[in-house]
Amino acid sequence: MNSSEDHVAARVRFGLLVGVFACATAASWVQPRLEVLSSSYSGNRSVSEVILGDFRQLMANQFMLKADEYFHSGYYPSIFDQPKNKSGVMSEEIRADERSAFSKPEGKDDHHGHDDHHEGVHEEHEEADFLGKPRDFIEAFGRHFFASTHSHLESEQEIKELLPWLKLAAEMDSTRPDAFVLTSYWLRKELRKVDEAEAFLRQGWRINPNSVEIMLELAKLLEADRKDEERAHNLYEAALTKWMRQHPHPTEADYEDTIVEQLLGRIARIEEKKGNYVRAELLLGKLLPLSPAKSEISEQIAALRAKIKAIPAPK
Amino acid sequence: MEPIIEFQNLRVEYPGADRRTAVKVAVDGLNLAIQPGEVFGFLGPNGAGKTSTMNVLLGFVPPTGGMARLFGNDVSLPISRQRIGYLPEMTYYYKFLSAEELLRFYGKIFGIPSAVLEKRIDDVLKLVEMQDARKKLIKTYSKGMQQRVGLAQALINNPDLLILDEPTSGLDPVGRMKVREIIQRLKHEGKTVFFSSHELGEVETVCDRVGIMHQGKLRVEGKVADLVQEHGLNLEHIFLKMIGYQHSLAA
Amino acid sequence: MNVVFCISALVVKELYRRKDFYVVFVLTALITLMMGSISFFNDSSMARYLKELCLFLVWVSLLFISVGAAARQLPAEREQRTIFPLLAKPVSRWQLIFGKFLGCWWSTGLALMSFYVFFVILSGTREHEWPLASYLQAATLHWVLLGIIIAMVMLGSLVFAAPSSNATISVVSIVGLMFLARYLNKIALQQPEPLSSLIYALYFIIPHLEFFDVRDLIIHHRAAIPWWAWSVAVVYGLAYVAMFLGATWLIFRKKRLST
Ligand SMILES: Nc1ncnc2c1ncn2[C@@H]1O[C@H](COP(=O)(O)OP(=O)(O)OP(=O)(O)O)[C@@H](O)[C@H]1O
Ligand SMILES: [Mg+2]
Repeated sequence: MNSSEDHVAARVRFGLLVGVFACATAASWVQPRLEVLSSSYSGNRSVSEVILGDFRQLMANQFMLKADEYFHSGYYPSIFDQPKNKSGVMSEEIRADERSAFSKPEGKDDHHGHDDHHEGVHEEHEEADFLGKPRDFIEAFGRHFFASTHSHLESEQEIKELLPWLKLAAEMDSTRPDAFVLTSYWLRKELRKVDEAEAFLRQGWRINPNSVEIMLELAKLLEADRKDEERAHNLYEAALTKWMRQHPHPTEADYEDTIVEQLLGRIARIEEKKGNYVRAELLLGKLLPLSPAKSEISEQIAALRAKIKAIPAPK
Repeated sequence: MEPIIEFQNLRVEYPGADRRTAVKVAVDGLNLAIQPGEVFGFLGPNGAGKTSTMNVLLGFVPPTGGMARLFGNDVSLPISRQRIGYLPEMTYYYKFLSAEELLRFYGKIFGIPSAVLEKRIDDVLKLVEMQDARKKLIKTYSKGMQQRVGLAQALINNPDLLILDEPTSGLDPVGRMKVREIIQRLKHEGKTVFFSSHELGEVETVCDRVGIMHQGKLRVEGKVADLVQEHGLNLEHIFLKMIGYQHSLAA
Repeated sequence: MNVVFCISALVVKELYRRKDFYVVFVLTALITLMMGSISFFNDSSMARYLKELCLFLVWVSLLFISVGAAARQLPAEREQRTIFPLLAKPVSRWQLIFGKFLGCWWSTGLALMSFYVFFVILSGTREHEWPLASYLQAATLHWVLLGIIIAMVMLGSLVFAAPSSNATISVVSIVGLMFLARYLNKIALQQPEPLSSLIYALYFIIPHLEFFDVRDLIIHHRAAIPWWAWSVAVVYGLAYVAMFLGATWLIFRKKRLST
């Protein structure tokens, strides 16, 4: 009895040993192959880091979309509703707003800027009506059950509702500057939380020191909310330099981005204020082909030229 | 008088697991009638077709051929089951209920008014001697206790006909005696009992009539005393003879 | 009807003797309250993200509760053979199916009610607004949806061999219907012809579960649904329930009882 038990125990022990050995062999076979596999597509990062990283990016994307959806109170195109243009998207709408606001000094007429934003949005919503006419009675009936009409945030409270998603997006993927920029935009422009906006932006800048987008937003904050034109000017210039360095041979698509347009316009305005009309004129001249508001800029250039002429030539 | 249970040429087949395996004939041309007030013992070796016959009576299995009637109604009608009590072969009860709750549930299905039902629950639990455990969950019961609950639920509607599939299996000697007593008492009350069993002694003491099934066919049927006289053997030997065991008996 | 009520009461009793609902409820409440205590940029008065999170958890919980409950009912009766003593009583198979359905539907309805009470209190205390009509519409539509799901899963429990595979297939197809059904007409238009008509036909046949998901409306304070539309949706949902239960009965009628 006892001896047979011992026999069984010995067998079990032997089995375990074989099992452990087999596992070790298998592991030593798999390990180098896995490493090759992981390094082949991700440099030095480990597999788990890659997977986690992709997951975080995906989540960040999702949260940004959520914020956008909240901006439209739930009225948001799915991948099946192809919008005719991108104008329905929040960042684009804000960009349009910024574009029209750039020539005016920021902050001075805060209230007006606010209205302006909403007008811009309403004009655009006609085009952004991605749903179109219902194709059949099921679709027509179904529109009672989801947010199927265009609507925008109206109160401060509603704008606040965006913040959790933006913050989560930035937390999930802190390498995307737009989360920081958008958050700061809403915080300072609509909620007047300049301190929080600045702290958050600086945090984003620390992580993304090369982001022209963040520098531009921070400079705007300094100019409009801190009234620190000097530092804002320096930052605009630094951002412009950085942009130039990042785009040594800018293409049409690079200019599509309104960043350089905004930088040029803002620096030109500050230079003009300081009396550096020549530089202002130069910058506006660069801006002219990029901006949609051509007539306005041409007028400004003409005015500057007049001012330059008025200056007595140095003897 | 109209028989309470009536089979005419009953045939039950189970389809094979796939096309190649043949169908299994469980009951083959059964003709049998059971009169009100009778206690009928249904005998046969394992796999003879006893449970299959009962399953037809309860509408669990549709007959492949022939027909079965309960109280003159076709067995497929639920109403034919209003006046019967059934004890399945093995214990199959909701484990998340207590005995009391189980009986209340079944009683309500029969539409017994609450006041009457509570009284009946007390009565049947006393009858099967389960008052002490009535509030415990069925999953904590032993096999014999579950069998007792099964008997109790078969009696809850004060049925006119009891169909009991091996009612004494799993019971201790006292339990078995108790079941015999219950069957005899029901008989005195004029109820009909149709039960299967492997306990020949028990069958001999309580049954008016017995039938012996083998391989789906009813081999012999009649009063115990008549059979004993006719064959000149006791019930056990008649049973063995009917299932083709006489050679080894002679040896 | 008495028999149906008895069976459904038994199902409710069974489901509430299992502890899963309480666990899920406490978990939902805890996660929501924890997320609610976070402050964003020194402000903690945001409510919509919390409503969204809470409703999401409620939806997922109820989906799993109802699929789990419905997938078990008939297979458990057959496997544990409790169906034999039950059908030996004057109970028809139709009554059994309908009783099981009602039992699942009522118990998930009770769960749904407790979830929505929690939700209404949460959003009310945060937003100081009580659009009760909208909440009522959302809860009732959700409940009708659970009815469709339960009926569908009960049908599946007779078609698929194992309850686990039935549950998996059901969850996948329900989620698929929720997300895709609405767009099938657009997808159809992008396909070449024979396929296009086929998808379009499918679009008209499948249950449009998305009608019953009105979370966005209550998160974003949209106007209440017109009551006529609500009623049509309820009737539409109940029609699918009836169809699924009818199909379940047709199969169960001929089904062998033991497995
Ligand atoms: N569900 C089923 N599917 C296929 N065959 C079955 C099924 N149920 C029973 N059978 C077969 O039918 C025959 C009769 O079985 P039945 O259960 O009626 O026997 P029984 O007389 O009750 O036996 P026991 O004394 O062991 O309870 C058996 O050969 C059995 O293999
Ligand atoms: Mg049997």
